[in-house]
Amino acid sequence: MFIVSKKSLFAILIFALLCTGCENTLSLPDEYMQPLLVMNGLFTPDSLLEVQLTRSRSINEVPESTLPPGYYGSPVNPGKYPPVEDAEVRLYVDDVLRETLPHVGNGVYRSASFRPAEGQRIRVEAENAALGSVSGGTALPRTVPIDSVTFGNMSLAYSYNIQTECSADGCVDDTVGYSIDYEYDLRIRFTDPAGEQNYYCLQVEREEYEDYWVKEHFDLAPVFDPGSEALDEFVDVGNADYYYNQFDDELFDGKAFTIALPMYLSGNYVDLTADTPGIPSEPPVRRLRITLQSISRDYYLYLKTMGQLVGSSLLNDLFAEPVQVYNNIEGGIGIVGGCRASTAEVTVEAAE
Amino acid sequence: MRVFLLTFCLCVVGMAGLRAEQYTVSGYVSDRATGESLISASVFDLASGKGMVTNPYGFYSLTLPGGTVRLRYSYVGYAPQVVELRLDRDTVLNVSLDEDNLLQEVTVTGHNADLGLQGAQMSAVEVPVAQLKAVPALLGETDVVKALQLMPGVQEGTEGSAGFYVRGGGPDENLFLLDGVPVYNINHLGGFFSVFNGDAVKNVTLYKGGFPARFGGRLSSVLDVRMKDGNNQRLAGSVSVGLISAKLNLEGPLFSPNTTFNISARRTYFDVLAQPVLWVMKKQEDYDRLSAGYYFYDLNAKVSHRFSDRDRLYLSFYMGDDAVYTRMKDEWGSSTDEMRVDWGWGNLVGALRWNHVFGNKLFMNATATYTQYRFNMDNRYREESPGSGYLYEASAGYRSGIHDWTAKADFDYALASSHNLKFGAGYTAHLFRPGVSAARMEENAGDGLPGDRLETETGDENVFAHEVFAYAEDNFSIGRLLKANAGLHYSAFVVQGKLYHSLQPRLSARLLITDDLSFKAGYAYMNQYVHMLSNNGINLPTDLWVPVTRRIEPMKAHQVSAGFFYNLLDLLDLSVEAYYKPMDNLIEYKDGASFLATGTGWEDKVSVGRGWAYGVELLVQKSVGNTTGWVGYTWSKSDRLFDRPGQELNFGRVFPAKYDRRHDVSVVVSHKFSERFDISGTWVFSTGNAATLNMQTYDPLPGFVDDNGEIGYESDVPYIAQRNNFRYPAYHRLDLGVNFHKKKKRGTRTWNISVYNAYNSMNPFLIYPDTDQQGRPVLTKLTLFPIIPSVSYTFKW
Repeated sequence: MFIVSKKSLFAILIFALLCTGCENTLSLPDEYMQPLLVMNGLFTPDSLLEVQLTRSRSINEVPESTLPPGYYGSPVNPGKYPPVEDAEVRLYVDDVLRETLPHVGNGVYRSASFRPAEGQRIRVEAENAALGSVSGGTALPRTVPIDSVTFGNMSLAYSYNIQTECSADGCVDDTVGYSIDYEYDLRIRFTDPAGEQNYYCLQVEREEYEDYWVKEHFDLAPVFDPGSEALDEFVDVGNADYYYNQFDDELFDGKAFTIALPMYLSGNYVDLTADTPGIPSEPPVRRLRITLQSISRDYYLYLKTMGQLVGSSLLNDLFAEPVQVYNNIEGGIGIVGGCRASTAEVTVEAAE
Repeated sequence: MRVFLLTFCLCVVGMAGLRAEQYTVSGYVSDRATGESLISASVFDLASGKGMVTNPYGFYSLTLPGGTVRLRYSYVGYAPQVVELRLDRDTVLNVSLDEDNLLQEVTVTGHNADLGLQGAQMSAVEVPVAQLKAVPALLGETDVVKALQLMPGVQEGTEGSAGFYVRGGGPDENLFLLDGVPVYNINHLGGFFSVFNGDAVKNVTLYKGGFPARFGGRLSSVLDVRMKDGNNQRLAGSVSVGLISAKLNLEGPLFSPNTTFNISARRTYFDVLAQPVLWVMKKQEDYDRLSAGYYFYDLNAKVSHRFSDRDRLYLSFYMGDDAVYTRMKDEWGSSTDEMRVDWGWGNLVGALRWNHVFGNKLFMNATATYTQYRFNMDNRYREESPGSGYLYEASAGYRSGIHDWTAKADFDYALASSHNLKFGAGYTAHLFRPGVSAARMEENAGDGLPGDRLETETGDENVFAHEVFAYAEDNFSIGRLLKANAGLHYSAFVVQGKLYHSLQPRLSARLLITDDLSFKAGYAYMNQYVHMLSNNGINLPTDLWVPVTRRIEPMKAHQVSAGFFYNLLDLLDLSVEAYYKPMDNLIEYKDGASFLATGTGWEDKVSVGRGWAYGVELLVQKSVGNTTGWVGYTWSKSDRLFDRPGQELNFGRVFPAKYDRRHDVSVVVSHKFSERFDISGTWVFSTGNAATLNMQTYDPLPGFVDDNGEIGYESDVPYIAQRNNFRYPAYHRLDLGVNFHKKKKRGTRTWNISVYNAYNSMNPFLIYPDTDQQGRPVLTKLTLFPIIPSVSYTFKW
């Protein structure tokens, strides 16, 4: 991958700086200035249906610091994208009005009792006096269970941890422990339903300590696009097309498929007693939680385009095409999607 | 009965006796002062009303009834000549014309000229090179391509660029021919200047539609540029020095009038002029070394030899390169920090051509050519501390290019006075290098610590392809009112074991309504086997030329056009044309794709779709007299639709093409007050280009799990309603130029003073979201060229 560093860009553009040129600001027609109603929601059968409404911000709106005191917004960007708390939000299931969703705070509108089920066509309409009307719909996909989770190609690498202790008599190196790295393949097998297009999202978490789970990093690109290898030594981005670990069933439609992910786990151990402590051959016990989400096509496209956006932002590529993040909200912006998850918890053990 | 039979026989014999013998007059038409052949000069028989125009080598062949003929030879800017002769056998007649641009008589369209009112060819313009060179230009660098951008139906893209967008087509849909050899990248410095040095150019013809069958391989236009052969009477030349470049042109006979040469060279010296500024920057930034610059050069050379009236040989050559470089060095203590950046791109073109006349009717041009375009990027960084032994060195390079080897033969055959045939065939071997990145990193940590070394190369493999073509066309008349050019072009392209081929009909016809008014219509089906992948609307050298493949099929276009042509008082040519052009198998980069990401093959980075363009063009042109110029207006629309499954752009909805521009006006005027003083001016106005710009940002769906296991999400997601959703503000500009000529003892000197953007219109080059000094978000417009005066000096002998 060719690296266009900031320094080289500065160097290349020195010539451009020598050219006469002027900058000034531009006033935009009103059509570009009107904020839009944003509606987001991910529907699962495990929770009550809810959507969140916020409003967009045009590129030359005043910054949030000038908003009235006491004005609050979303948890991460308080005030920048204010929640819309005075909208009427209607839920339709299979084209029948089911209920008007009550506002529960922070722009979230949640059903009192409805949990979506497989096959239901869900549509949400929101209406706000200032921002107009929007609507978005989706359907809940079927659950695709995980058939099995196995391990393979276990390998061990270790190194001793050295601590240098200095005194008036000089410095001495002392072995205080060791670090071990286990590399292994995590193999997740499932069967794709035949005769339909299916979309998935995969998550792997490890248990750091009791009931505390941490996301594991992995790269799906070598699984689905073997020709595209990220040049990790130069740019640690991965393939943007799989940034959020989403994929479709084009390669294995209607068949059983095994995703083999190269993983590793490590452990640090203190041992002050020996200069060459014994290295265990068994991996440190780690529990993994694998979640295979079956997702709607809308949500899949949303994840894919969000990944492309992140990828092009990280590369800081001047030459990249702008990314249009997918949205399925008519009259506004945002995404409503469906998701059903299948989960398996396993313990990492040495392979046979 | 016997009386009837006798009468019938006498009539037949009588008619046979009355049918006149046909003889052929052929030869070359040239400039008397220089010996340069005149392309598309009109040869017209005043008696029979039949005529034709000379071919690209100045040759004509006209078959006429025997007897006394009066042939009128005419050409724009030259005094016409009438030759009377008794035609009783095939005759070779070479004619030389004298230059005289002040004549008011009809010489532009002429009678039976291919273009304009009388000719069957439509959607084509031929502007005298002198008129093109008179158009004032950026930094005083007159440019034939930039002048043609002022023609209706042709757009330049962004501010100052020499990008060529013809009738809604992309910049890669134009066939640029330099003496019949394709040139892939005609742009210097991102398109601000073209590779065509006006001093080396003899003739320029632009076809926007109604393509004759002899042309193929591109969808939207053919720009046929012919180089001068060289003055065969005496050694002549010119030297020109301007604000950013110097030019030299030499031409003349080589040992004898039968052999001529023409050499033109141009080089910019902006890099030299920038050094004082860089010296100041070096001091301010405290660098030990800082040098940077940009330059380009062109070299055109041509040698022509005339063995006889039947045989001529030409050898032509073009080489041009652009280079951008930066050198930085910083030293502190015993450590050194060094960086080096080099970008380079350029063309190399060569052609060997043999003309031979068989009998008096068949003219052959056999050609062997080579053309190459290459682009390189190299970036090197080095950090060294000799004391500790630390060394870090990293380099990255990128290469792309294309090579063509071609052999072809073209024939002109004067079948009869009302039928002029052209036919030919050719073969091209293509070698494509779509893009290869090589990266290397070496680190020696010093102090005895182990080092690290990485080396990798990624990219697309070289692709070989073979292309053959054949064509036949007939330029014929049916009576006086109807004239047409009909033909077939066949082409085949073999790549990666896959064969693509097509038969492409072409038709262009003219109906003469009155002597001053004609109606024309045309149809052309075109195929294109090469694509240029472009990341943005600026013509950067980063644009990649790639062939069709097993997955990416050839681009196709049909074009239907029709219009009226009117000659007013033998002074003005007026035309109104409408066109419709649907296109298929167009390619564009997908969202987020970039040419730099060579981890993915280029085929995976593009989507395939279709488009259509339509519009109306108005042109009023005056090409003779003291005042010349034109006024052009275009209304046009160009849309795209990429909705093939898995390849959707804009989510499968219609969106405007990048170079869709609704209104375009250009006014070009030159006036010659005297031999010593002339002025010129242009005014252009166009509504804005399309661009993709996010106008809103918003909060996305929360719920992503971040690295810490927290619920987090990306923020400030840009909302882009559709591709090319934003319209740049309207563009308008006035350029003025004045020339002061003075005859000196050994030649003529000319001072040119010009002003680009005379009323300082702040036209947008780039618009992007930004923040002001108070941190408030704003939309910033970057204007590249405000008012820019320039001066140049030329000496011609």
